[in-house]
Amino acid sequence: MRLILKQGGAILVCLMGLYIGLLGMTLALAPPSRQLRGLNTAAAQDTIFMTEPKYIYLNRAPLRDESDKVVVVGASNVIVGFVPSELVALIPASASVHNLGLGGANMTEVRQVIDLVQEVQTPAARRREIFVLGIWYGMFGEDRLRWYTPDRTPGDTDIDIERYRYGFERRTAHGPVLVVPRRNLDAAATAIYPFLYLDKLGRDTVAWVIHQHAPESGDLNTAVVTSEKQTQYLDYWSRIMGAGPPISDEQFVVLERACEAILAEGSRLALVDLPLPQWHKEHSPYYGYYEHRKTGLVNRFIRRPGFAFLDLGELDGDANFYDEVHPKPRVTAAWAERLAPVLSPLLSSSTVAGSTPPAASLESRIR
Amino acid sequence: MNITSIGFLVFVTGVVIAFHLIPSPAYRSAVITIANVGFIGSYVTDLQQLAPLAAFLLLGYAVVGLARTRQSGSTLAIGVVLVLCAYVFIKRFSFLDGLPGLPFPYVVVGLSYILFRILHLAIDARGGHLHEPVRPLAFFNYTCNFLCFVSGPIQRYQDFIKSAETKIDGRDADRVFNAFSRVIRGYINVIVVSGIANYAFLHLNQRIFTPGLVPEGACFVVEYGLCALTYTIYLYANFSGYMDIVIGVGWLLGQDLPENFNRPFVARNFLEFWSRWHITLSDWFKTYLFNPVLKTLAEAFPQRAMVPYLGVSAFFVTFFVMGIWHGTTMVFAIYGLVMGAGASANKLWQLVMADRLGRKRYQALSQHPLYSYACRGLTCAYFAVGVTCLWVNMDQLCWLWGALGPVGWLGAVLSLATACGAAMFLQDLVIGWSERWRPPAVILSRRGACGNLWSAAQILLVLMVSSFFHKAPEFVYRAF
Repeated sequence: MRLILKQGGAILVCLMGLYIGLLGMTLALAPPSRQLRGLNTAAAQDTIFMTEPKYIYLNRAPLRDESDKVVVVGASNVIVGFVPSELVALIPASASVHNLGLGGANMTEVRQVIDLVQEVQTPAARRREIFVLGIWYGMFGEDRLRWYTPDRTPGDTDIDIERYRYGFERRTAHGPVLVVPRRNLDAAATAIYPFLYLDKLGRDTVAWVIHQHAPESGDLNTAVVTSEKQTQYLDYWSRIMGAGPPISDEQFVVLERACEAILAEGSRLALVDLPLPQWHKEHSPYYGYYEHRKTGLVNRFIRRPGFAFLDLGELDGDANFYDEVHPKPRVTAAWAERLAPVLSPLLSSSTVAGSTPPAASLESRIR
Repeated sequence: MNITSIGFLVFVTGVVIAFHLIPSPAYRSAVITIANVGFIGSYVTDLQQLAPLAAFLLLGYAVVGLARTRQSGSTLAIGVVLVLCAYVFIKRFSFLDGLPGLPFPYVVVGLSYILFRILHLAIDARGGHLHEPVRPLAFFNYTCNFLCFVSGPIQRYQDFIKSAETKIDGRDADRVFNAFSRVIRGYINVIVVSGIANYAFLHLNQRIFTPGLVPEGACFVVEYGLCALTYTIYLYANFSGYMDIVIGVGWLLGQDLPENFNRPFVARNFLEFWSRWHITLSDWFKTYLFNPVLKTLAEAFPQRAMVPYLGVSAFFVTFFVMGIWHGTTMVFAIYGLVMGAGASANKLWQLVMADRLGRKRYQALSQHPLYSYACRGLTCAYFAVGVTCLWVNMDQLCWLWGALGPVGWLGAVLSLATACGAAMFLQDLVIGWSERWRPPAVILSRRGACGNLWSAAQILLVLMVSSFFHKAPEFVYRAF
């Protein structure tokens, strides 16, 4: 027994020594303070967090303060379309803009992002917050089609994977349970810097080896989607969405509950119907049903205090997109210009409301 | 309980500490019994799920007892048939689909290996090889030893009883260090090597079977070959790593579990391969199937010239049954046919070559480096292509069969054989060159500060890689 404990202890001491050494080296190479600015998942790859879900899950400290905040959530077209620097220039200076879009997200995962934001905030911070929730039909694919793939534990979203990856939360039959208390989340995220740094090093090396690089904005602005490409994109979304229309109600229910949850906390919500190229809308078997369901939902919320709806459908020209869903860089300023007038009244009301929930109807429609 | 889970590590730590608290044999036996019950209990949520397993154990115990007391061939035969029928019923082989089954879910993990142990005990009891009666607790701890429960190794009962008497004392500091090193090496194999291979395999597998992503022509053959190869690496690292872990933990509990792998990819033919891969299973089949089949055939065909060729048939039967044992569906029967064909063709080749060239010239040819690497490559390639049956279902196999065609299959085997042979040649070159680094490597593998630091570095690597692959690879042989 003594021998076993002695041997186990010796290895444990060596392990701790090695890890402390690695942690020191990593913190010297990538100081944590660099990561604590306004959040934008588009920049995730340039940070130590590398991926969007990891960036959101481990990097929520900037969301804690009780100043006015605009938090953009949605899928990858939200990341590309709502550029924080363009948006922040058009809204009152006191407000910060955080883009927490998540590539490939469906409504279940967007709801998780909203919960992650709210769970690190005080009630007062939540009341100074506006969620901008960008939606389109591709976000309404069922969980069983989206999150039941061989490479993951059945049902785990990308956010769930980050919950469990470093043991910050543990899996139970009733959902994830916190292992690391929320107040220690930032310290715990710093403690795993060696893991994050090695992960980044590995991914950067692979990207370098296979010469992977992000396309230049100039290339994207001149991109043309050929008819062959259009067919490929439509086939892809057929696989993601399932056999055919109508779309399952599951994700619309999740959206409705997410809207309720946001408003119940005293936060404001701007629901944005994101544009798609005309060819995509015309040929997709899902778009019509999505329109129908979305209209019903908007009608139920439109008179609720703190809710606003913006339809960006007018920006649906085929030339505005570099693929089947993402806007060209030259178009993003127009997205910001249309969103800013919707946000301004919501922001002023949150400032006035202070610690009390908003009373007046703040709906705003551009349609 | 997954061996890569924190739960398993905590469980094993608790068992080792509890085991060494009091050096009384009765106490230690009780600890091991509780550990075995706890381990099996981790697979169920309701006691009812254990009922078929408990009934199977009771039946097995009765058969062993009767075989020992009656010493009758017919009693043994009836007992073995009963045990096999119960096994086939509980495992729900696909040919039983029309028959009614048990109306509740139940545990089948470990059942195959319990079957092997029960048959071994019954046959040895009948043969008079068990000098003492098998006590119920010893029977349970032997058949349901948590270290070997899921997938072996298949230890002989006599060795199990003997190793239970092994003590760990002050002179065993090296043994303790080696046990820790072995467990850590196991996790390196399971999480790092098999994790990376599994990642690559899943990626390639998805490409092969996803419409729109399927490559064409030679690219398809190459991608299929890579897929088969990565699965083989995954299977080997995963299974041999699991063995490293349980053998290492066994050392800490005074159990000397038998080795199950001995560098299988240095084998120069398919039969040698199976004497290095899943050794305890191969030995079991050799003792309890191959030898009796060969003996029966030799009695039926007593002509002296026939005897070597009877081995060809016995190998086919043995490997066919071993293949079918891996699963309950049609695809595993095909796997058995492929393995049986490989083993019997290998034996036939040896006989024909020895006949044509003469024993000495054939031996000389076998020693020739070019022939040797070609044989090693071919052995590896044939096995890799054969185990395709373990990662496809019947529909996928039929589709693959049609998509590759005879030329494609042959191309896949030959290109894999060439690649594996060349890789093995390079590996041997590198190993020869790295001999000069042997002194530092020896220091790292010895007890002391360097050895502990090396162990810690490996643990760190395991932790880091397991965080990359958020889903630790399943223990693959658990399914068989």
